[in-house]
Order: sequence, then C-alpha cells, then structure tokens
Amino acid sequence: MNGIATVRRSADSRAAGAAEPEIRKSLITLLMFAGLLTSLRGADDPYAAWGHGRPQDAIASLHHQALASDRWDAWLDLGLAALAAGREGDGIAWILAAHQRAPERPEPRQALRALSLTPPSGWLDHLGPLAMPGLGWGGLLLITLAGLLLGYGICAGRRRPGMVLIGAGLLLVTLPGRIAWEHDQGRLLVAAVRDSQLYDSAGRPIAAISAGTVLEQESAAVWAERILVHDAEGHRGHLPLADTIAKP
Amino acid sequence: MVSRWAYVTALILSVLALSRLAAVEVTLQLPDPLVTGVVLRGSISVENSAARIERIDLPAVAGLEWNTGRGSNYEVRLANGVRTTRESMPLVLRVQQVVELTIPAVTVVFDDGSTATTTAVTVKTQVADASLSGEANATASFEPATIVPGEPAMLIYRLALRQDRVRAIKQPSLTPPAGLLVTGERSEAKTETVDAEGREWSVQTWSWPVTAAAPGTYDARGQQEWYRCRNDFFSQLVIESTHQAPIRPATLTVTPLPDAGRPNDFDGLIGPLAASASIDRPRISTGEGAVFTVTLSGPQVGLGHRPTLALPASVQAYPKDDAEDKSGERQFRWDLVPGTAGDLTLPALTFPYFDPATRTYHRASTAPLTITVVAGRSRDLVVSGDTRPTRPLTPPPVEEKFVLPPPMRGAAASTPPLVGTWIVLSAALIGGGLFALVQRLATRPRRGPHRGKALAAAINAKDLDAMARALFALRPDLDAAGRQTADALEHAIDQARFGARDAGDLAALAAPLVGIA
Repeated sequence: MNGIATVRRSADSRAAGAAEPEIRKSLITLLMFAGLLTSLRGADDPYAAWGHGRPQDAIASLHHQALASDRWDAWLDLGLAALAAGREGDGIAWILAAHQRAPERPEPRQALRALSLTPPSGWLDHLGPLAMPGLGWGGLLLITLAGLLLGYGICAGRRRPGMVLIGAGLLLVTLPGRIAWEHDQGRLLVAAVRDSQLYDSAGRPIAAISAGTVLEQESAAVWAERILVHDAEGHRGHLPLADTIAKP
Repeated sequence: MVSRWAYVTALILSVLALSRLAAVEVTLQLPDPLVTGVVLRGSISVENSAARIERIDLPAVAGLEWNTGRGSNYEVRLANGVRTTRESMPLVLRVQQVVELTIPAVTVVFDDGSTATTTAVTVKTQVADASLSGEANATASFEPATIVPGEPAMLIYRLALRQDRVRAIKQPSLTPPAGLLVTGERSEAKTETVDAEGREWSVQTWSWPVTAAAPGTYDARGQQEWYRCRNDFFSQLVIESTHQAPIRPATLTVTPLPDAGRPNDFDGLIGPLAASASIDRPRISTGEGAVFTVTLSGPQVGLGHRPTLALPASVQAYPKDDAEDKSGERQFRWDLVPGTAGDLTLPALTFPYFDPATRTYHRASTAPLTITVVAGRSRDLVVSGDTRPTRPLTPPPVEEKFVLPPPMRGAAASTPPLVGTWIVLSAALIGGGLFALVQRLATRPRRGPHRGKALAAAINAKDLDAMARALFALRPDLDAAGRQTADALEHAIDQARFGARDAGDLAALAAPLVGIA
C-alpha cells in the first residue's frame, strides 16, 4: 500500500449514490417542516417578541395569558414587560396584581422594591417565618391532615387523644399563616397607572397622585366612577377608577 | 446770650408746632353710594388737632349742593398712654344727576388760625335702588346665570333692612339649592345704602362659590325671617316682633358641554385658562439638572393632568411633586437632566379647555423653551498634607439593593386556589369522622343467628339433634332460672333421643327460652 490507497466503489455504493438526491430532498423537506413547526410554536410564544427586544409587542399576548391563567407569575411577567416597554404606571399596576395573587412570594415584592415602592404591610409581614407552615400546597395539606386527625380522633370508637392532640397542634401551627395569606390576598391594593388626583366627595382636588403610586382601597364600592383610597402619606380621597386600570 | 436762648426756644417751639401740624389728619367722609335727588349726610373729621374747627370752606362743585350741618362732635381717646383727638363736623349734601364728581380739596380753618385740607376725591353718583321698599328686601342671584358643568358660579344673597329703627336677623335663610356643589367658603359683606326717599338701609351680602356636576336648572328661593328689635338697658337687642320677607328667587341654568369639537384629551378644564412654562437655569452642563415648570392658571385647574413630555432619549425627566397649589393656579414640575451637549428644545405643551363665553373648546399653550447644554467639566482632586489614614477605614454599610427579577416564563410553582380555609378544614373534619364511623361499622363483631328462634324452629320441626344444639348454644347467656329451665328441657330431649320416650310438650317447656337472642 505504501501510503497509496485505492478506493473501489461497489455496485451497492453506486446505487446509493444514485439515491442521494432523493435523500437530500427528503431531508430538506423534513428540515423545512421542522422549521415551520418551530416558527408556528414561536408565534404562539407570548415571550417571543420580548425576546427579540420588542416588549411593547409582547404586552397584548402576555395580558391575554395573564387573564386566561390568572397566575401570579403571568401577571409579574406582564408587569416586567410593561416596565421594559417604558410603561411604568401599567407595569407597577400589574406587578401589584401579581403581589396580590401571591403575597407570600418574594419576586413581586422584590420588583416593587426595585422601583422604590413598598406595598403596605400585611399580616404575612407581621407573622414572618411563623406563617411558613400554613403557606402553599404544603400548608393546605397540613390543614387537611389536621382536620382528618381531629375528625377521626373525635369520632373513633375508642377516643384517640393522641390524634386529637396532634391534629390540634398542626392546626395551631398552620392556621395563622393560612389566615394571614387569605387576608393579604383579599386586600384591595391599587396603583395609579397615570398621574391623577385625589378628590373629596364634592369633587375638589385634595392631593396629586403620580403614576405608579400604590394605594389601599378602603371599600369595593364605586361612587361616581371613583373609589375611596388612602396612600402611605395619609391622604384619603376618591380616585378615578379609570386611572387604576392598566390596559395593554 | 439772651438772643441765643431765644433762638433755641423758638426752634424747639417751631419743631413742636411742625410735628403737631404733621400729625393732623383731615378726612372727607361721603355717603356710599351717592344717590341722586335725596338729601344725604356726610362729615369732615379732623384727628389729632390741638385747635378746634372754626369753619369749613366748601368749594363749589358742579352738580353738588352741600353745606355744613349744625354742631360738631369732639372725642378724646387715651389708649396705652397715647392721647388722640377727633372732631367731626356734619355735612348735608345732595347730588342732582348721575355724573362723576370731582371734589377738590376742602379747607378746614381752625380757631388758632391754622388750616388743613382734605385730599381731592372723585366719586360716582347713582340712582337710588328702586327695589328698596317696605322694611326688608331679600334678593338671590347667580352670577353668571348660565354655566356648563364644572364652571364656577357665585350664588349671591342680598338682604337689605331699613334702619329707621333697629331691625335684625339671626342668620341668612337662603342656602345653595340641592344638587349644587359648594366649592369654597361663604363670604360676607356689610354695606349701607339709601333708597329713593333718602332713608338709610343696611345691606348684608352673602356669597357662595358654587358649581354643578350635571346639567339642569337649580332654583334658590325661600323666606327670610327678620325681627323688629329694641335696645335694652344694657344695649342688648330684644326682639319685639318676628316677620317674614320673601326672597326674590334666582335660577341657575346648567347647560351640557357641547360634543362638537371636544378634544379627546379634554379633562374638564373651564376657561379662561392660561398656560406658561419656565426653566430655572437656561444654561447647564451635561449631567446637571434644570427645573422645568408648567403653570396653569384658571378656574378648576385641579382637574388638569400632568402632561407627557416629548423629549429626546438623551434627556431624563424626573417628575417632581406638585407645588402647593395657590388658588386658581397649578404647577407641574420636572427635573430635566440632559445627557448630551447642545441646544435642548422643550416643546410647547397644550391644554384643552372649554370657553363658556364662546361655548367652544380652545387650547392654552406654553411657549417652547430652549436650554443650552454645555459639555460637563471634570476637575482633578488635589490632596495636600499627610494623606495616610489615621485610623483604619471601616467600609460603609452595604445598602440592600433590589433589582427587578427575571421573567418567570411559567416556571413558578402553582399556588393553591383561594379556597376558604374553613371549608377545607370542615371537609377534612367530616372526612375523618366519616372514616372513623365506617371503621367502627366494619369492625363491629358479627352476631350469630337468633338462638331462641333456632330452638323454637327445631321444636316445631321435631328435630331432636337440632334442639340439643340450640339449647347448648343458649346456655352461656342463661341465668339461674334459665339454667333450670334448660336442664329440664335437656332432660326431656335426652329421654326422647336416647330413651325412646315421649318428650311431652317441649314447646311449652322451652317457652321461657325462645325469646333469648
């Protein structure tokens, strides 16, 4: 051989060479189909436009996703996209919506603090780590377990004081966090999506409210298209409802 | 020597005389209003004069007949050790027609030969108020009488009481009609006037700033209660009789805002509206800030919204808190921080408003402004002396810094639905209880067949073996009497089984046992 190699192509290989264009065509067709699938999937991805540097274009689909799922992380992403698009008032309102849906989660709170905003303290803030056992699915399971133990311990043929004790203990540990969570979720927090004013009941302006200000609603009642709110500085008055509704 | 003392004395006396002369004040007091055709009273008063009035030289004025009255009034007051005097002399006057009268200075001649003059005044005469008749007159009015929603108006209530005797009221009976919004404090004024017959009236006027939120008509009407009074020994008013005076009503018409030509960004501002813009520093360096202020002036400016600034991307605009609003004025302020050098033009801002005079919408605009931005300068820091630290430096406390979290993209763990805790707990309690009940039912010991009935059935079937088994099964639960019965029954059964004898009436013998389960 001495470094010289002779390659002989067999008849099979020649046949295979004749079939190569068909294989190439099939591969190209497959690749095009895969590309089409990928692009179709990308069209459904609400984050696609944002990923390409156009957060403004992603807001409508993210808003649709948030409304459909009502998940806190969907609202948070919508708020972050609005902030990226320069719509601070709307972004704060949507992040606040995420915070209200999951008051125990640190991400919405962290986002608000990054915007130099501190939402009003809730019961969870006051409880601190004591609230942990009652939060999330784990908390709900523990409460269910406590209820089962208590029910069984009380109704069993022979009384089971051990089970009653364990059930009561579990309730004692989990209920505060769970009640605080439900309370904080039920709070009516709103954010001004644009510069607005607080008015008294006679319609006279009381205080200016800049876009992004977090306010606590005192009542769910709407009067003359205005809601009764107060801010962290103690201003109390009626805020136009339209100034609290963020639109995509 | 004598001449020197004479000079000093004369100087002191002249200074004193001058100072006393300088303090003399002469005032001409004319009735307001000056009503034509009736005899009116005025006065000339002199304050802090050492001498008494000898005469008053009234100049001739075309259209005015006047003369001095009889007698004069002289008062001396001592307050905080300061003595003040006041002498007034009455005037009787009558104007003949509605004109603008220019009354020149009036000279007052004192009994020591000195004189003083009043300042010249110009007054306007007017005809008497024809509506003043009887003893009381109450009138309501709106100014203007027609507005649009949000436009300010004034409700004016005027009550005139004749003053030929003491008449008074406790409080005004009129209040703004329901549906109107009162936008400020009520103001009050008190004046005097005369009627066509020259009788004096006191006039009290109350004014409310009002507006309306909805179109419609609003009537102000009612009755005013007033009293004839007298002064008692202690100069306190005592009511002698009570009377009612009808208030001449007024109507405020609120017409809706026209739809035609209404701008999309109309905030409800009502004209006249003026907008202006200013900057505190027209020339700054890059990175420095200038305060840009937009001022709105007009009624209801509180309804205005902060405008959006269209600025180049290199300029950061930080809205500042609104300044404390003055009445009828509102300011929006921004800190503008340009990032690049050059001329920065702040565009004109426009605010739509409704002009009630022309019933059309207009825009108030600010003028565009220019800021000259020069390139920022840096300066080297020169440190002299011993630069070694005298004690170890402690790092400043690290401030907790929050950054925006990344998007979750659906990766967050789901949270449990907002199902009431009490519902979950109640369901679990019921579930646990049910489980315990089911368990109790499942583990309950099973009972065998009814042993007494089995015995009766065996007796009926005359099955002696079955009778013996049933009796055997009954035995553990039998008492002493039952055991005796069972023994007798067993004996009879055994005799029948093994002795081939007639067992007799086994049913009667077993009767006490068939009821045992």
